[in-house]
Amino acid sequence: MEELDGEPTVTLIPGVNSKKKQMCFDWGPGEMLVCETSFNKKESETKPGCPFIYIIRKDIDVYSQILRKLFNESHGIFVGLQRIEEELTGKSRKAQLVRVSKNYRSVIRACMEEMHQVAIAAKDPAIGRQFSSQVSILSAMELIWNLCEILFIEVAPAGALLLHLLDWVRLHVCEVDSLLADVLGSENPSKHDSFWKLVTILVLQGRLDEARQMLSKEADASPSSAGMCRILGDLMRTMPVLSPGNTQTLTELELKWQHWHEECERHLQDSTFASSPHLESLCKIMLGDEAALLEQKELLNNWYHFLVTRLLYSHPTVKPIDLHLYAQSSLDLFLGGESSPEPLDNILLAAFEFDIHQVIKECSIALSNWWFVAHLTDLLDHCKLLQSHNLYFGSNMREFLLLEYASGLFAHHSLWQLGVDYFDYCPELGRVSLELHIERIPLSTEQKALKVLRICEQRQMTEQVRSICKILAMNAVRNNRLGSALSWSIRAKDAAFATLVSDRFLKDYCERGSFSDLDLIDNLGPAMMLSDRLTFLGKYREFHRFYGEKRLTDAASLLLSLMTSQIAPRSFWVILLIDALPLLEEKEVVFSAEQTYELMRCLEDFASRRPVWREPGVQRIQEDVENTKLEMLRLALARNLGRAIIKEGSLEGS
Amino acid sequence: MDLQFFDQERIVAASSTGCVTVFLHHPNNQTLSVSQQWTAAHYHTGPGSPSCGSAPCTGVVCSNPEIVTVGEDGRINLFRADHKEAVRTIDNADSSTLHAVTFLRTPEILTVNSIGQLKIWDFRKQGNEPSQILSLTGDRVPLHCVDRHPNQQHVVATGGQDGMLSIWDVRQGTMPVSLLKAHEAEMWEVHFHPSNPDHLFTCSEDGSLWHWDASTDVPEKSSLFNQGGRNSTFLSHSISNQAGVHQSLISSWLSTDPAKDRIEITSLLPSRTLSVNSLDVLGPCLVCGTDSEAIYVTRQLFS
Repeated sequence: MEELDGEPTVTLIPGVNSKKKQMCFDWGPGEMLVCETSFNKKESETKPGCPFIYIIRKDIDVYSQILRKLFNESHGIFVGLQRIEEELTGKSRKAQLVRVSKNYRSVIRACMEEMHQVAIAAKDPAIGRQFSSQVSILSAMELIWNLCEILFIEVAPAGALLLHLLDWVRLHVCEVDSLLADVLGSENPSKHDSFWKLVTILVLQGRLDEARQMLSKEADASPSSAGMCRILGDLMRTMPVLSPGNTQTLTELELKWQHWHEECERHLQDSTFASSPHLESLCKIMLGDEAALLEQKELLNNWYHFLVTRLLYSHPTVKPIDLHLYAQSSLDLFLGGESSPEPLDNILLAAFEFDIHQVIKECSIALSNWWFVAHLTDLLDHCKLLQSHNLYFGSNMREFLLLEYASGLFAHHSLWQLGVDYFDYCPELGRVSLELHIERIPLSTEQKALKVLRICEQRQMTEQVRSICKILAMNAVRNNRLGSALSWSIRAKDAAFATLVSDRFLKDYCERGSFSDLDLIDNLGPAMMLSDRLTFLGKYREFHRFYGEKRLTDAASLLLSLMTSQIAPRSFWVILLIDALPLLEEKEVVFSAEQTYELMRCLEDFASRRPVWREPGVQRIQEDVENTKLEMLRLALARNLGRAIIKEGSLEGS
Repeated sequence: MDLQFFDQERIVAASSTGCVTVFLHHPNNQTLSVSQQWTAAHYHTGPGSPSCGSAPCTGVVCSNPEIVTVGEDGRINLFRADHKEAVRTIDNADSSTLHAVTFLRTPEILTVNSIGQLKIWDFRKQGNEPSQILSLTGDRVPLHCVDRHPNQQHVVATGGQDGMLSIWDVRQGTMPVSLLKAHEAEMWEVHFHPSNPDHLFTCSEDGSLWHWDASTDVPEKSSLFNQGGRNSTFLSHSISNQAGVHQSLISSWLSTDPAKDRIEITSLLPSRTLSVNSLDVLGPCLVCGTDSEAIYVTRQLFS
């Protein structure tokens, strides 16, 4: 059993007095049921306890209106990634995976934007604060993801690595642009309050072209420092950088950079910038002087910015494996022993150390929702970076996280459809989990039920189809919608239920003497074959139709076949026999002699097996009525037999 | 579960709680307010159903000033705007669920149900029986949507649970004129284009939205013409005989000459999505909504 990494959070259940009463709980697929028990009850207590049963769900983010878009969009990206997996080969594989990663990040950013707008527009400050904190969480997520993309997916080599890290930092510090616009927009930029602050930030971020432009404005404004500005500007211009299309090797770059570094050093030694403290500190920054950089702590804002700037100006050709050393020392220097690292810092450090498992573990603990770790782990798994790290409960990490995330989705009344696709791509436990969850989706309308059934049928989950159709059919029967009940039992090919529905119809007929829902029974079609009772119902109705259309011989033979084929229920035999009466009484002879013999046999069969009535009073009347009916039948049959024999005897050979 | 415009300002919405609501749209501040509501338009009354058991209202159709709604309780309601109670209710019109409804002529409506039958009801007649029942013999496939041809009131298109598109002529017999194998899953909605009725649109659970083009005067349109999606041609498979009638009088949907009539089908959504639940079309604009909570709009349908 793994040890706990942190104290679990305590959630208080309203209304339950956890100090005095004992609670009981039970786990469900995604939720927990909790209620108070009567244990620990003291004699003197007469106040009733809490009468409620509580359902506790862990995942509340699922219900956020704005995060919904995140879930929907990322689902599309996830499914797309799984589908192109087979086509990903060779060189283009990395590019495609980077593209997928960028897609995920753009979705996070879009969500952040929207939440930011809502936070600003919120009228209630508490809600505004809540949204703002969500924005910062999303921003942190994007920061981590971006770093993972650079280190694990892009796998940038030395040289290019620094460029990516620079981009990373620039993306996450956005005040620079607004400040730039501010200063440039003012009448006299070089006299603006924040002018030097701006130039410093530009240098810290490695945006030397823009810094040079600002310096040239300063040079125009104050001729005394024009010379120094020009020199510094030249230094900025000549700094060797690895540009993407450049074919320089790393050693060439290293050499040139060394040369440039020495030149800057020389200018500093010569006190070229002595008269302007701003320019001097800029030069020191460009030399990578740690003290100078630490002076700008406020502008740097966080240790990873410090790290990247430090690397830019002291080790531009840093190799990926050396990163963690610089990262650790940067963190220590920046914090300076005043504060301890926060969870985000630990996650970033773990990333710099290329310890993917640690990153994911820390993120799982820090974040309230499985979305981030599930998707990131899946992407890294496609990059073939995760060894099959088997957890204690059988599945690997990727699958475990995806299962957790998808289970959370199923708690939502509409996002469960996304969860289905996630389960599909979990090879070991996905199907079983899906079977478990899909039966528990509340089916409020038929359309929703049809969607669920379609999902089950596509995956050959016949058990679930049957069980869901049975629930729906039972509901329909309760609501007196016998046609719906029948169509559900036909869909599930459930013969037993079809029998139940037919019995209902036949019972209605016995009670009322006519059929309800003729539109259904008349048009059963091949579905009639689903169950014997249903076939009987259909054929019996056909018999009525024949009789109505005066097709008496057809009616007669049908009636006979109904009786002899044994599909009629016992309780109905009386009715069938009584139905034969009008046919027997017709002027023409409808039943042939053979048929009449058959009928007689059926009659005697029935009479001999009549059920014994238990209640004496009812028994008498019932028996009398029965006996009268049987007598009438016997008489009619005998008469018919006579006429039939005569008729058959008198015609030539028919 | 269904929405329709009642007039320029009002929209009627049918809900799964059995409630029918008329919303009023205020263009000046882009809001909606409830103008009228019938809360228990559809409900279950069975021996086992709870006393306040509501039933989803599955379809609504409007023809100013009348509104007709149908629901899972097999009930048909005729409302009039500004009348508090239903003007006419046909209880137990169907023993199964009524999925959709459309007007044929103003006093006549046509409903489709989950045992694959089309029923025509005439409000001028008393009694609770349909004036005509049409169905396909063979498998009882539930029908989910229906739409009437804008100009020819006897031509109706329906979509079923197996994704099959059927075209019916309600004057002739009880069988459909053509059956076209279309989608791989339930077809949720079918619409004729209101001003170009030779164009038909269907959307389905399998995540696709198809544009069916049956216009016959297209000699230069070759099958290589790509409207931004999969392009295939189908032959219409007709099963009834209508020899001897002038071609110009028959709608291109009812034509029976397989060699001459080629319906061109284009898929309008760029990639596979979750189910497309609903669509509407007017002029050059088409809008549809999917289960991944996305709404797609195109404003250049025929370009």
